[in-house]
Amino acid sequence: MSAAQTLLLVQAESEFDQAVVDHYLSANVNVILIAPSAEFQSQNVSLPSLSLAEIQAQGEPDVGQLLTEKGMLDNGQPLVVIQGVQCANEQALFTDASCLAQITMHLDNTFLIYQSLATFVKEVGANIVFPLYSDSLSYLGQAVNSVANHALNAFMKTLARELTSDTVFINSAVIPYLAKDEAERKKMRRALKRSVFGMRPTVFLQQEFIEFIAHFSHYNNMMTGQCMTMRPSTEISV
Amino acid sequence: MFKEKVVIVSGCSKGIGLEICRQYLAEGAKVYGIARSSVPGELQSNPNFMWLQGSISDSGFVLDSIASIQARDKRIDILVNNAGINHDSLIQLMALEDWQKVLTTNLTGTFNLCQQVLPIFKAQQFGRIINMVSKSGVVGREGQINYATSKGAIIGMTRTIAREYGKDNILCNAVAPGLIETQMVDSAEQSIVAPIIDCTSVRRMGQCSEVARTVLHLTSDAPNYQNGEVIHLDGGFLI
Repeated sequence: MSAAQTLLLVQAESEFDQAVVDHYLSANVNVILIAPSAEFQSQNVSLPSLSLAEIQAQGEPDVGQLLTEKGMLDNGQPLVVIQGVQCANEQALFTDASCLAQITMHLDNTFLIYQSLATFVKEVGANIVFPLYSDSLSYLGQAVNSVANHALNAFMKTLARELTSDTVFINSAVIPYLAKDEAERKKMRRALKRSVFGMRPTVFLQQEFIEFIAHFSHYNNMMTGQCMTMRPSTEISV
Repeated sequence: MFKEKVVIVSGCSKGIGLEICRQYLAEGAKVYGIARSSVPGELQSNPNFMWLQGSISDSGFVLDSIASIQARDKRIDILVNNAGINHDSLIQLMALEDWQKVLTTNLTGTFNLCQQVLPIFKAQQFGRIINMVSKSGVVGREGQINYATSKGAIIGMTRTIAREYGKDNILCNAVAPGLIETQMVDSAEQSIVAPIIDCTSVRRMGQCSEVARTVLHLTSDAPNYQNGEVIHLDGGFLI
């Protein structure tokens, strides 16, 4: 990964998103937050950011113009866009009236952000990646946000059909079994061994997966509109 | 096969929804059809059909409708979420209003109906849900970012329901039709339709009756181990 790179992290709110920020900052990448949650922004006050209100306040929505005006962009740097991982817990989908409203509001905002990003990424080129949870993680008791993730996957595929060019590539990457450290990895491996997911299902370290995304989004110049899976049985829908 | 079954079909005024109603009625079911606009006389004159006029995106209307069906029939067996709209344009040209309109009708409308029938299905320990989605929700389509996203979300909802309620004998599947011969397709330009047919292995459009037959099969009392699936009805499109 080159240090001369700009990362736009869109709608960041989760621990995973924080790990993405930390990884890119350690590589001296210019990280800009686009419409992060209030909590996420307060944890990353030193990072430049654009709020949704700022994007919407423009007559002709164009994130590129805003970033340039604010001096956040170093022109000519390769651009990577990573979508934040949504935290909404859909296990209460049919019992908590606010759950669907949160999902649709999040999707409305996603639409507005990528609409304002469209012109910019077409001009300068970009690798855009949507990390998504697999439904199969629900069998580990994890909230997987099926509604939002399948919606975002269809959004990604349509976006790829509309924006892909010689320099714009848009894909999703399904988050596999992830552990934060070796101890957690060993525990998860033991729990998954000889399970329905295989004899010895692979558990990745979160850092490994983020490095994969960083490497992929830097070098990818062919793949677009695809949903990448790291191992069998962690496809987005199994 | 569906005698005395109580069925709800949203978007019943034309096309696929109308044909689904016809086939359920022919099989002896009692059908409640939801539509905003008028429904054909053939349905209205059938004593086993009742038209509920309103929008599925109106949660109050959905609540009252399901309560009235439950009060009258004491049970609901099948829900077919067929209603949906589209307002197509490229993302850069799409108005937020059009994005929201499509998500509200397609996603929130489907959710509203599911939310009201699921407790009834759970109490009965029986229920069948079919969510009509689209190839757009699976593979995306230019000019349909709102429609594709809403259908993708419904696929996710289908899987959530299957996962959470399968143990209660509630099966939820999605049907993703390809190019089906409806009024909307009839009015489309031949230059748009012809290439799609060329990429369909059966070299023709699908018929509403073929979609309806699949819906009836999936919701019948016959043993059915299918749950949380997306059934592609596209005549072998791009295989």
